[in-house]
Amino acid sequence: MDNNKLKKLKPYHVIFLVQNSMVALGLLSLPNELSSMGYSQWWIPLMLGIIANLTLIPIIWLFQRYPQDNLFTLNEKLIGKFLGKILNTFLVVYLIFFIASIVEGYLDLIKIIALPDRTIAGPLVVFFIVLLYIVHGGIKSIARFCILSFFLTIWMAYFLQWSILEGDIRHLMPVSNFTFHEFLVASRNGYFAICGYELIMTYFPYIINQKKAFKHASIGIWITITLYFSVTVVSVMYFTEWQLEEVIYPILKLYKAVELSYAERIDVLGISLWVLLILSSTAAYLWVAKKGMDALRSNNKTYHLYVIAICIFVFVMIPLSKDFQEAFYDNLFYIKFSIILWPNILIFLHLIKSKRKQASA
Amino acid sequence: MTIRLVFAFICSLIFLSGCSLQLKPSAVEDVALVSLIGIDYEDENNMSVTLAVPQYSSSAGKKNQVYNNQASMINEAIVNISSQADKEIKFNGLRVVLFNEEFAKSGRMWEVVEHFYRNPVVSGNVYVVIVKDSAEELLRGEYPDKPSIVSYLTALLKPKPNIMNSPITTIHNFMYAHSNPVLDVKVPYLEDKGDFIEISGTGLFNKDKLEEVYSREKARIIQLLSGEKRLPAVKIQLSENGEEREEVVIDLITSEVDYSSNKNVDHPLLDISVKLKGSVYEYRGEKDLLNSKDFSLLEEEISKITEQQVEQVINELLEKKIDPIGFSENFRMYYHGEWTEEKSREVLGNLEYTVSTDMQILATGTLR
Repeated sequence: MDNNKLKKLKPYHVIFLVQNSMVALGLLSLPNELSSMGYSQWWIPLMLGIIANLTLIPIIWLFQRYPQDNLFTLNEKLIGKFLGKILNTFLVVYLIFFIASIVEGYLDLIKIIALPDRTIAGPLVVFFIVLLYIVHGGIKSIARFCILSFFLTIWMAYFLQWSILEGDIRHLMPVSNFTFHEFLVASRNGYFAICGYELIMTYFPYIINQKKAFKHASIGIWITITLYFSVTVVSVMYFTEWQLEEVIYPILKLYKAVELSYAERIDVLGISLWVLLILSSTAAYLWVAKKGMDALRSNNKTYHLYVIAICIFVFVMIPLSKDFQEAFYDNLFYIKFSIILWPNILIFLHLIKSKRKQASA
Repeated sequence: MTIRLVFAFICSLIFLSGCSLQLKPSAVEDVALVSLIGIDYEDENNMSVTLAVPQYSSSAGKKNQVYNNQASMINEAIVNISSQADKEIKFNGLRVVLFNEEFAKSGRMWEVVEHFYRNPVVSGNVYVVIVKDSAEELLRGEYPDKPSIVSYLTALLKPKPNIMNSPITTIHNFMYAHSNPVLDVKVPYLEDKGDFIEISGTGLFNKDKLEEVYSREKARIIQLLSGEKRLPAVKIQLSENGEEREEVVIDLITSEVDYSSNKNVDHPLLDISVKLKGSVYEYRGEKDLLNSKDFSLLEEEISKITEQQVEQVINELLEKKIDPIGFSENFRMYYHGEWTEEKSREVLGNLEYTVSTDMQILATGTLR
């Protein structure tokens, strides 16, 4: 193995890392999240894709100037050691909450759909064992797992054809029946599903061909966007506006439309296979959190991983009220969005620093 | 050391979860998978719920287990029934939900359908039907030459070209039409004829309530206008003159319908063009089908009669202001702003339309 080398991510690793860390729970409820726009929502994923691609530019530009640094070490470099550490602590705590929100959301779903008469403690433990195993292998192992889970789940897009046959294509007519406020709400909710590509800030130093990283990351983003786009188009055709608003997991209803003579309840198969997508993105996030912890303590210890995992586990198991959870996870969005925009501030600091250096030299 | 600690932690979690005082999830042999549910009207607040479960025991005398209970809500009835049943009742295998006509007219049908639509274990392809008299009697009925009511009814309702005179409505279709401001619900209508069950027509809804039951012949036109591609063979009477009749049976191969609207909500105008392709195997009359003149005359006559039938059905629908076809969707798709049900009714009230039909006979069989 090449565990000792720093540079280990080949182009296809980058593509699928970006692609798969984006797809998690967000896709399951995407048409519902966008429902404030009604039937006009189908082009929103394309717009979000463009925004994602634009915000990727400063990220890559910055890290190409610091090819050996990840987000956490760069924070310390650019805004000072003390402030950097505070910020990194905040980031690690945020990541713990964020991973907990994904895991909890997914397990809730499992509880509703696949295992209605069991508690989630058992599946949660099993999930964590697999998760830790993947993250243990480092970023390359996560990237490989992403590739695997992409090919194990992408064929499920075939099941959309039943819904296309039953749907009404006239719903797609672009009559733009929405107000500006509805548009903002939809973009905000939808962007949650797009997030995930910003993790490249942490694994950028591991990429072999850093010059072409932007191209590869963009390919990853647009694979995801194509997927999102097809799902929203099919949902708009298959559902009415009321259904888009009321059905929490439209994808499951799309799977329920599937009629096969030899299998029933395709939605259970789908939701069970979804664990691969959840695993691959949580693994990427967990690895990033571990890197953050490494940077905080200025060393590289395996037990950091377990500490974080236990924190997440405990947070998932704490019984919080549903209202609090919703409000809490809702506000995570703003942190997430500011993390995506954070590199712009770092670029500003970088420019000031390099100017100063020039002046002193 | 750390690994051991984590290992011990995980182990304790696994084993401690065994200490919980829960009932174990049921095994397959302890579960009764409900296949059919019948809902009958009891009074304004109550309904009578009948469940049919396939019989697993070979020593039992009947092919199905049937349970019945009255309650105001579905789940309440099911809890009551659970205390009668020998197994745990589950809906994972549900196939058909039957409502009797009276219940459908009471306007509570969509509440029950929504309940099943919400339930995550119920498949989206569960059929919804209306039964003429009593759903319970239909479920308890004896059909000696049929395997069992469960497999008989499921097979009967499976979509196939020769029953497409009536719509096949699944739970999703029902909720789709009910929640769609441009559509009204349509549901197949069954009759218990003693030894067999017949799909005798289509129940048409106005908002929540069943308003009209159309015969198969009229329902066929609704199916045609809804864009159903494969329709069953149809007999068309071209003329009747005492004893002398001119009749033809057409096997429809494809049917197509095309709408184009003038996009104007205030003065709605709709052009409907229907294209039919089929073959003729049975003809009784004076025409010589080998003669190309007679042949095209026959095509023309059939087109004309279809046109009249279509116009008659549309006029009836517009008069009652019900729209199982979705005429107003052709206006909604160009309309800027929020579309409501009132708007649809308004469009239906002012709608003017033209119909053009084109019948093409492709073959007349292998004999001259």
